[in-house]
Amino acid sequence: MPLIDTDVHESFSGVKDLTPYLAEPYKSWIANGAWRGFSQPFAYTSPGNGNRADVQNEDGSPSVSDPAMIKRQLLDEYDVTYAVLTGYFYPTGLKMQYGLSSAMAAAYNDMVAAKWLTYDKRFVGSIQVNARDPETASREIDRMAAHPQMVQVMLPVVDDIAYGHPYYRPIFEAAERNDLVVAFHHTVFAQGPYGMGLHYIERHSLISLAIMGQVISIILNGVFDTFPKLRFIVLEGGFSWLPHVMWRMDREYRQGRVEVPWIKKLPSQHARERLRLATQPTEDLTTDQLLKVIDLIGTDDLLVFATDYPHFDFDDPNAAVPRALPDDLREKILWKNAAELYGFDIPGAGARAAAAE
Amino acid sequence: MSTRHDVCASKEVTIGTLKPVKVGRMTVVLARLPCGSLRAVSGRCPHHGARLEFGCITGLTEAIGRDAMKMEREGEILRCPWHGFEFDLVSGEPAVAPPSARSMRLRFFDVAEDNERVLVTI
Repeated sequence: MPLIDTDVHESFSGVKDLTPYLAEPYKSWIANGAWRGFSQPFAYTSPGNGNRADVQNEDGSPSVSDPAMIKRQLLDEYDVTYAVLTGYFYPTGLKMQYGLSSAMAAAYNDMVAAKWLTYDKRFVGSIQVNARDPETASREIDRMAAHPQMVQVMLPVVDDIAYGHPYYRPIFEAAERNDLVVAFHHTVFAQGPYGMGLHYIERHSLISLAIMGQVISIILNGVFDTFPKLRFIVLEGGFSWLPHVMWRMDREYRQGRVEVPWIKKLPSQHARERLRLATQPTEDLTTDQLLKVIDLIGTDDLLVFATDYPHFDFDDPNAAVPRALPDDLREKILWKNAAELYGFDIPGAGARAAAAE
Repeated sequence: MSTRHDVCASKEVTIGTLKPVKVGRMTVVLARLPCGSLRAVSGRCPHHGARLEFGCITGLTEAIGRDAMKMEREGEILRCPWHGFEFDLVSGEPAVAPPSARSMRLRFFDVAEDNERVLVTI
């Protein structure tokens, strides 16, 4: 059976790896150590310090900078058909110096194209942008969309951005005109409703709430209506919360549509048609529990598999998606839904939806 | 029918470390408890199948009140290299009960020492 992994975190050994891809003045800044990259504002508590402890880079770096290792530990180990590279270096996290941030996003994209997408055709990429500069991000999307292996735009979930705000529309416009998926992924800056909390376990449990906020923001601010061909994927936010969020938004829409008349469909309909959620982290649901959640979501087209390699909360495809599921549903989760979303040419895959209707 | 396998020298299995050995195609992870007893554990985590040889031997963090963190039972707890689940090497049980209707116990094999060699029965 084919297997599509929708969340694979390639990385670099350090921000200086971007130097060859940067122009001045930023090239010298980064080369001289003027900025040394992001660091998380907490200590990891897993044996591998945030990564699987069996992920050992040959250069000793804590990130995954070696395509050969991902090929060996993921692509070959699990016979992955396509792995969607999602990065974990998100320049949007830099709240100052938007020129530097946008330049680093472009440099990172060039590094991914040169180092990763050429390494193995099973890798497909995400276009990184500085979301705080939407016009520049839009041009970067146009530039990188020319690469046939770039399949989506990555919007990182940080502590001060709700992507439904009209300010970010140029990014969605660029994604739509280039026929790209828009992906959301948390960051080390993502927060729940009261911040990150006091412990790593708290911060990690709050990630799904940070993601819920983005889904509510883009649907209730009309992003789905304004861009009727765009499709969206939420990564590493879990999925068991979706029935609640859909019910809540539908009820609010019935009583409060007067305020947002540009929204033309029930929020749940928008979600079912064009939102996809990656399964990781799967929360150890039983087969019966998983079937109930899918029933409550109202469609089996919505879930797509992800491992989150190399992070510590990796989902093994053989363990995370129960073998007791009906075969057709298991195939949808493990590859068919993602193949349809990204338009991958795999025998047996359905045709990509041309429009949302 | 089970067979006794000579897998390594006794001195290769030390307190606080994990020693992987191959028995046929299977990896068995050996550990020595602080009391001197050996454990021979199936090499894959019962949760998602991680290779336990990359895990670590530790203790259980305990607290009396939130300001008094201490480590107890050092050397008796195995943490999975992926999700960090904690397993009691004395009993094989997970430190936190698994979801209902699911077993998440380490699989132990009979292990003995004879003439400075470690013998695992599988």
